[in-house]
Amino acid sequence: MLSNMAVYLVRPFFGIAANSSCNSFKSPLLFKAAKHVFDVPCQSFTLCSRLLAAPATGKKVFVRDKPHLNIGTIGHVDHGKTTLTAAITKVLASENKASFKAYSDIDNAPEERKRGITINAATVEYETDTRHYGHVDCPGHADYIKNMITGTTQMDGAILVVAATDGTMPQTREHLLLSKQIGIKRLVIFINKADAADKEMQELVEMEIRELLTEFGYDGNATPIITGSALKALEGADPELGEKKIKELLQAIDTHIETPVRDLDKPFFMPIDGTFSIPGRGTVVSGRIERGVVKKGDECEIMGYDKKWKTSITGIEMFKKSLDRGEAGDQLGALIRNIKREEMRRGLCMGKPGTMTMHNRFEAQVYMLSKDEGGKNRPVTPFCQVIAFCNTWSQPALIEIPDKDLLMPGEDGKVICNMYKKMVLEKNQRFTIRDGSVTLGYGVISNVLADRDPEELEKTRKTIKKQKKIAEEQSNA
Amino acid sequence: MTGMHWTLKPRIWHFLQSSARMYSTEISVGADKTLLSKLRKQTGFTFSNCKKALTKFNNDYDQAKKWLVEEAQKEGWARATKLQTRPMSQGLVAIVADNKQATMIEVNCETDFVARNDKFTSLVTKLAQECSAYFEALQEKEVSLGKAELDQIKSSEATTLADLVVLNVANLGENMSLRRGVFIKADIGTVLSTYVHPNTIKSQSSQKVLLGKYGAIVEMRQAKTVDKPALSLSDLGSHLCQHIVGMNPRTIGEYIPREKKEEPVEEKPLGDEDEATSDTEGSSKVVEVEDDRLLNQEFLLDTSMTVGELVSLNEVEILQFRRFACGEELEDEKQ
Repeated sequence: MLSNMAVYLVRPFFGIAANSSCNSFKSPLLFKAAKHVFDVPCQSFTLCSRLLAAPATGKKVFVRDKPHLNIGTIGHVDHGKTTLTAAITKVLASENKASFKAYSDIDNAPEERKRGITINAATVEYETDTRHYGHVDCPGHADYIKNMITGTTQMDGAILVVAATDGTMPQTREHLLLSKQIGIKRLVIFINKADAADKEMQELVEMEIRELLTEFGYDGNATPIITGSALKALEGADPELGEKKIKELLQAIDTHIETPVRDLDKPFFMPIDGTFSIPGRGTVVSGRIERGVVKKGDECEIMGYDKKWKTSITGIEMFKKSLDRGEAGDQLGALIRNIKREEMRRGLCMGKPGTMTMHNRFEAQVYMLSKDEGGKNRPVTPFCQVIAFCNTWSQPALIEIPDKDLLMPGEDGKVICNMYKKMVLEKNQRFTIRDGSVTLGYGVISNVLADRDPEELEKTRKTIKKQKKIAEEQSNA
Repeated sequence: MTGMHWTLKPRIWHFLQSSARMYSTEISVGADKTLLSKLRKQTGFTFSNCKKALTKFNNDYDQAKKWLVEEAQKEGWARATKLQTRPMSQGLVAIVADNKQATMIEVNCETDFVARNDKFTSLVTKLAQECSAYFEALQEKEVSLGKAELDQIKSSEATTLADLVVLNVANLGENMSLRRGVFIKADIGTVLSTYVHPNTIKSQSSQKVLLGKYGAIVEMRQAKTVDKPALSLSDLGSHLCQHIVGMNPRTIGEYIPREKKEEPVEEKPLGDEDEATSDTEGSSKVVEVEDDRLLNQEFLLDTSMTVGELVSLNEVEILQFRRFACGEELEDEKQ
């Protein structure tokens, strides 16, 4: 009842906001943002109301009208990344698809001023006819890596900006290496400053870029290259080189960069965060569905802590009311067949049979927090023990550092995590590394490795510990 | 100003040569596309400059190339002046060392993209070698120089180190500078050890130059009485350097044997206050102990002992150490 009343309380307010926004909000995006804020609570309220009014009728789900993508600009500092970003917002603002951000707004974004404390990223948003974009611009390699690991803005594609006057820079190689490393599959190229270079030079720059792209494993011939002038577009002068080219660029992004698969379309997956038993009915596991859709009667698999069960879902409940179907984002309880409650525990994962795997060893890209960011003041040394938190599980993990002797606070790098128990994990999954009460860093799984025998692992750990002590023991003897 | 220089000199030269050229090429309007592409590929100079050069010499490839190389220094200085106010927080630390002497320098640039580029690592390698040669010739025990003095050092090619840096400013388009350098020479009976972190950045041009984001040099002396050391001196030195990089001590400090220190600690568990937090106790204690005196710090690679204990067990005396962290704030630069 309470939640139902809340709907009535929120709804009229939302209605007022929606009406007034037509007059007062100049930008449609602002209005949209406001709608987002209200829509989220509305979603859960409608869910509740539907549960009360069984059977379920046409559940109102918050559906984004356009798919969302994150893209970024990469390129040399003087080649006009910021100008291009400003130009894009300017061109789209004239069609009410973005709010105009001036060069100085982007360049002096507060994050960018506080270099070194958090991720340095200037973020703007805009939309085209078919998509909604979040656009990031970071100054350095490390910032993009942090961005990837913390997962706040996973990049789906990128615009490489090259000035026609300079051509590619030596460090363009590093830019392409980075985009490979953070998993960007496709790029779109903008050759900037076309107003200061003649046709021949533009063609040569284009050739040079295509060659370089191919060298780094991108499809150099199929990658769209647009030649224009961001400055002209920003100034509103020379529409042939300016505005028109920006539109061409956006068109190329829309078509060339692939839409990521929606979570809803992926196979069902739910990390378990709690277990209950309902007398007379059986065991219930609860959790938030990460991906996919689950229906009453579905076969499913439960895995974790070296163990595996096959079962089926006999009932789905949400807020103590039963429903037929749950989907990504829903927090629910699932009644499962033939499994004792004692066997179930937090940290197990439930999913569509055959879509999950358990492992105890994986390779990851990590970022260790600096002291200012709440991390530790001392570096991580090889084979130290930390706790890895991932989905709903946490496990002690021994860390190997393959290419370095140490991992300093504020540094990113590759590590291999060894656990004593096999847990459900997969590539691109994010996790947190903690030690006691301190968060040491964040990571993303880059590769699942072959399982390691826990006994052998324990032995190795002891040998390494002994080796470290040897100095002391010898001199005591 | 620099623009004037470019145009004036070649114009006279061009005038003298033009009659000869008329035979070989037709009156050229712009730069030849294939030549432009070739010139760009070979020299790596920007398209604009390559084109300017070709236009200037009516597509005479060799002349254009020669001119470009000559102008590079001037162009570099022009760029460097333009970029000089831009902040630099990235870069590399380089060490050139043997057992008897060690040189450590820091070179900065604007982004870590450039810091990873081959051109930049070659520059840093070259600068480290030049500095090392210069310091060695000074015949002093210790040298520590800032940017102003380092810039004036003459390289083996008779240009200054500042000129070397500036050439790369033109090429990579970022502000760069040789920030600081130190040199330590071992005395009779002392040994030097060095370490850079991370040791993944490989110098293309020389195996002997170590490149990283952090660097440490330590000078030690081992007592002669040790017949069977627990750790070889080079291992110990490298472990100590790792510790210095990781734990950032400020001073060497004085070694206080553990017995004295431990007494108050041992009394604590009697109170049993920590029991509830026993889970996190171990780790939080490690965080608590933040001593910036090297000998009193817990040893990074084996937390059961302090650095003081480690060195006394091995009968080694630490005489001095230096640590560079790339981009760190320096006391004397703050003003």
